[in-house]
Amino acid sequence: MKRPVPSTASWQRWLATGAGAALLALVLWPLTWPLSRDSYPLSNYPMFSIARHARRMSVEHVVAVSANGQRMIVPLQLVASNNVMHVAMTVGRAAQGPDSAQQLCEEIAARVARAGGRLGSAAVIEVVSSTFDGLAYFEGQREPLQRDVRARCPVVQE
Amino acid sequence: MNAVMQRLWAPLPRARLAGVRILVGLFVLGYISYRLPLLRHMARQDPDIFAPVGPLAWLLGAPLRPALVDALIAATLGLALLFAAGILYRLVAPLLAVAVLAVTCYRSSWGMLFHSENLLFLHLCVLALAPAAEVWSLDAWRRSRRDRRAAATTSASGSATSTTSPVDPDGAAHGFTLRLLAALTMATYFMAGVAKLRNAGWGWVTGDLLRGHIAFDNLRKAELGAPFSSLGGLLLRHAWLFTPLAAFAVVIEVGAPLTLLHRNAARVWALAALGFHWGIVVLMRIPFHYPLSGVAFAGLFPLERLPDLVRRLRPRSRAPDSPARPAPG
Repeated sequence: MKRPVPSTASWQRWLATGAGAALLALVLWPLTWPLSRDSYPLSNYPMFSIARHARRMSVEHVVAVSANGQRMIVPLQLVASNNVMHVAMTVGRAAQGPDSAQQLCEEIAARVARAGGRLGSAAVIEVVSSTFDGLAYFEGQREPLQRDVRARCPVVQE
Repeated sequence: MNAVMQRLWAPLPRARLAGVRILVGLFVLGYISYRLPLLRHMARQDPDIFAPVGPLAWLLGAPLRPALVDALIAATLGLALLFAAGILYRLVAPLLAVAVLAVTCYRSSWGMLFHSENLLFLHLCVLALAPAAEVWSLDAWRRSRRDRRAAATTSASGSATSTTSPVDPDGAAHGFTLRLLAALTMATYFMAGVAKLRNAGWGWVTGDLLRGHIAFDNLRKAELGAPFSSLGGLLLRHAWLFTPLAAFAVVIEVGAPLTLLHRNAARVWALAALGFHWGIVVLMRIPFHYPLSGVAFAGLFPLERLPDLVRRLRPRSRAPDSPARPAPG
């Protein structure tokens, strides 16, 4: 004989509803945080919210410069990893201080020297903060409006 | 109050929640596997970069040993498989929620928060305590086999034997769980919309800032040597396009909670949100994996009808009384 099982009891429903409401309140709690604060797993989801204007924007990045002055992009994996957001974060943070910029620069220079290939002609690595006109950039004007070299180091080819 | 409770606890099919469980489990399996190289790389970085976030800020002062992180990732993958299959669900589901929190929190402790993981973890928290393995699970299959054996024994001996029944026979808890999952989804979108309005005001809707974000993100990718969206770059010259796009984004995010008022509104919203995420991929090459996969919105749709749909789509087998084709030769 099948034992009858009652539906979820009333007190259990109130308890579950209360717990669900508490979880929702917890998720909404970061609305009270300052916008500069973010965390995980609670967040105020600030992505794409800051005021950013297309005509003038600064980007921290890494370039390899050959002996004749040709500038080349260093592949992601030689900078930090294959993940572009991780690389952007690594370079952005390193570019904030002269020591950290120099340390990252030297690490990348060593990896570039070992890698050879397309970057075999690289003589110098630069960690730079460049300011671009974002609209002009995608119309072909790739040169930055301003370039601030945060660290420079030689590539000692093996 | 009772009317609100009745609405919150109105029954929904058990198979729908089970479908959500399977999809979320498979998503965790696929997502953690896809992130494996990054997760392993993170665990081997310079310890100076380590800045624990969330619960790890209280628990960890220094990075874990890489071998321990590898073991944690392997355990998470194993638990996700058991979760999807519905094996020892009451034990496995809370363990998976904790494991996913540990892995994603640890990854986020190296300076970069991935905002689409928050909702995944919140959904896992709810599923961990819900009766999501009552059907379409190995636990349910084992239970029904045991019940059949008991019933057979009963009929043979003529004695009364009790059999197990579902925890939630009328599907009320399933309905409540699915509504809570939907409410959490809507809450996270609402938060993202409010953040835009708090940071930039209603000016965000004019589209200038969205255009700036698309330009910045693609330009940064180009300068870092990563693939970027050529289409996003190309469209930047058409400023007028960005006002409707920005308005659409804000309506999707800030208006999300209103869709909880009606089932069809929620489904239309989910499809629009899915389009919104695919739009971000097309214009910025940024994949928010959990919503992009559709799994984040799956509970809003009648997953319980999937087996019927598959059955109908399968080519029909010949009727038993139809004449057999003569054997060759």
